[in-house]
Amino acid sequence: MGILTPLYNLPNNVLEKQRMYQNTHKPIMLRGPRSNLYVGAYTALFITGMLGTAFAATSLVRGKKTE
Amino acid sequence: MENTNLIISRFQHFPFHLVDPSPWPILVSFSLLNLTIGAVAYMHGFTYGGYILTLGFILTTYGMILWFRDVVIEASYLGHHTKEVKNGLMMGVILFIISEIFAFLSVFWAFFHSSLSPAIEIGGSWPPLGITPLDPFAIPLLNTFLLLSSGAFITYGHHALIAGNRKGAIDGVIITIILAVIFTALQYFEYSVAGFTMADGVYGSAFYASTGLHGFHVIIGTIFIGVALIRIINYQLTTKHHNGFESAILYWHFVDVVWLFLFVAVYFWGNT
Amino acid sequence: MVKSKFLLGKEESICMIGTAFSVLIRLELSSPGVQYLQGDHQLFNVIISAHAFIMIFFMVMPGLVGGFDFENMNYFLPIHCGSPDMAFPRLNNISFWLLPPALLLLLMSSLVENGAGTGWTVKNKDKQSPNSGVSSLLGAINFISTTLNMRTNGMSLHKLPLFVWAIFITAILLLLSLPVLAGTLVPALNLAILAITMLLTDRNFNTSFYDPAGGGDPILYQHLFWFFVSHIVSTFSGKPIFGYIGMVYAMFSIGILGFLVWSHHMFSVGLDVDTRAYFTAATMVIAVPTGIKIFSWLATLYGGSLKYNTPLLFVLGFLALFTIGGLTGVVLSNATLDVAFHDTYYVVAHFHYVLSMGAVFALFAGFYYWTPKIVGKIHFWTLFIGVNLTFFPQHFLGMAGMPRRIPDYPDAFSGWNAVSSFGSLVSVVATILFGYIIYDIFANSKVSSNNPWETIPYFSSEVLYNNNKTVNTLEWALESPIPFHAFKTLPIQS
Repeated sequence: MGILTPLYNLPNNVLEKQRMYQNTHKPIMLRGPRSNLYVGAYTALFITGMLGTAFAATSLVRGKKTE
Repeated sequence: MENTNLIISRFQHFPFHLVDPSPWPILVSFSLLNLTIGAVAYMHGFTYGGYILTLGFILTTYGMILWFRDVVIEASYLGHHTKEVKNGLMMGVILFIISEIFAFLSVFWAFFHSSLSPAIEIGGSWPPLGITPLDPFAIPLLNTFLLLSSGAFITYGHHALIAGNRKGAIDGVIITIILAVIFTALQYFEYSVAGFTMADGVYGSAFYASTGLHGFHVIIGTIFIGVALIRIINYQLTTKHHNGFESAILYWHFVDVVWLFLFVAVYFWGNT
Repeated sequence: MVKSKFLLGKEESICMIGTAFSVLIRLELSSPGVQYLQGDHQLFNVIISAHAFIMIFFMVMPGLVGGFDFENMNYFLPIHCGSPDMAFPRLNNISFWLLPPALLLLLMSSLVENGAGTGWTVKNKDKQSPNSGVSSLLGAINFISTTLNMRTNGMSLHKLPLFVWAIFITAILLLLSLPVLAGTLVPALNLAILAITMLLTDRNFNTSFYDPAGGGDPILYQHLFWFFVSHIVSTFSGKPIFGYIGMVYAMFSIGILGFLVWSHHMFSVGLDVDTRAYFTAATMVIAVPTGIKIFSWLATLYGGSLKYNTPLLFVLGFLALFTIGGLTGVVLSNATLDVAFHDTYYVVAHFHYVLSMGAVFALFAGFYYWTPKIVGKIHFWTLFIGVNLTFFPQHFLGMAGMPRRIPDYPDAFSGWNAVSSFGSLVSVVATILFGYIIYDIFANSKVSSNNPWETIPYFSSEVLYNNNKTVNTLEWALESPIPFHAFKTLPIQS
């Protein structure tokens, strides 16, 4: 399968990665190169989600429907 | 500085992995709360219910991805997964699959409960009067072949990986995933042309509950194998140490076997 | 320390909420006619369901299995096995954190639309039970893996403390039954599908198989009650436990039998005679291994030098009350009688003797055993009198035919109902006292020594004892409070 050849020949950089991840004492989720972005995006989404949950819970208890 | 690393108290005297504190369990469980409340709000037509449900789904999935990313880092880059840890993880996967088997058992129980002695309300026959069942030897038989051959290909990929044949491993797993995606697409197609819906009495309910639950497991299994594929491509899985891939294979065979039972009971026996 | 404080507070507050609901029930029933709920019978139903749900799913089950675990499984299982932690600590963590959302959903369901009809309430309960079900299931996987994989050197299965055996067997049963019985169809990510399926089965299949209010099979949870009992009986009679291997296999057979008898809840729905005869026999057979356990405990106590401190009092209370509950259980296992007693107060009395006295007394016994303190004695006597006043009269009411879940009754039943309601108030006093005890423990008491229960064993001389100090189970070898990741080097089982 010719189209897959680049996949077979990818460079193996496990050793560099192991050095990078073992050389720091930050929490594991923040050790990667783009980790701050991923976790930051998650935090923002999570806060929005919790606000949404609070809103939904309030409207459920008050029983106000769209009409 | 180098030598301080050799102080004896810095060494661990047992082979187990004591995980670092992680925020994901609490975040994921509150994402699930978001998902559930969103679902209730959506189903009862409350304002923004759909948005909250979607947000909850994204949050849960995203949180799980970040959680499992940590586990992959611990396994491949930090070397925490010793032989004993591997044993424990494998045991956990097997126990999880056993509990899944019992979940399917309850669905099959419900199916046989209603089909072995059909109630008088549905004409005392199975399939019920007025239901046009699907032909088991059309798409369902094709799906059986698809799943069984995907099982063969994943075994090929596994043996190639163990033998150190990188090309074979990648090929085998990719073909497995393609077959799985075709299976899901065919199931979707069949659902959309079927002459009955989930609301069409107990036949429709039993049919869609059992095949739908299975389809859901196929999707999960495909994702599971997909993660293993990415890890093979990234050189994270070695010839002797590929626990995640082995778990995916076990899970896939479980899905496979459940389909065989579904095909025999629900599609073939239940339709004739 | 902070963690256990938090967990204790949580368990106690859940216990309080459940008790509050039960007191509302008893106040309404304290005399005939409309009392406190202003004739709102729907509200009465909602309160009864909420009480049952909170007590079973959020107090008894999690208190012993799921996420709370302030003193038991997650905390003590690895220590008894001699391992530094559980196999999957993060699963532990999520099974703890799944419970607050589940509880929130449950409480919301009794707030929303006043639990109108069966619509919202029923559907919402379907949604919270998977949450706590998932939590217990993850716990079960964790316990089994830890027990099988992480035992220390020399800790063979036949040297495993009975505590670990009880957890192990319960975990296996939970693993196999939760997906089926509690309706947790797929353990993760399936909340929407699950809700649909359960509604379908309820609406279309007309089966009570998925009825979440059943809470699975109570017999399944019998194991939960005697986690601590063997240890406490052995410690305070100064003798090793009688019949260790017999106890292990008795627990296994109860587990297997418990699986075969799920149908004894359905005697009155019209099973045929043969089926009923089978389930009658199977249910009665459970009395045999249960008897083995009860008599082994009595044999351990017999001739021992008993020390009547709080944990032992609670265990003795457990033995007496659980036996009463077991005897009424044999009566109920008879399909013919069960038809007559179905949904009367006889059943209520039976499962409260087993659950609320069996489980809760064992829970308190474990609490005091592992939280050395003295004030508990008043708590024991108040609670003992309270629960017996509440539930013993209900046998009489049930035999006389008073149906359960009905907010009113004829004047003929008023006497025993008044006694029962008074007893529930006594239990409330006991619960408040327990809250104070927890406060007192954390605010005022000193850290105890490694093994506060240490005495010279019955069969040992003082010299031998002082020269050769050993502990029966590993938690007493560690300093208290037990340090994070208890063992730096793994201990060795002789």
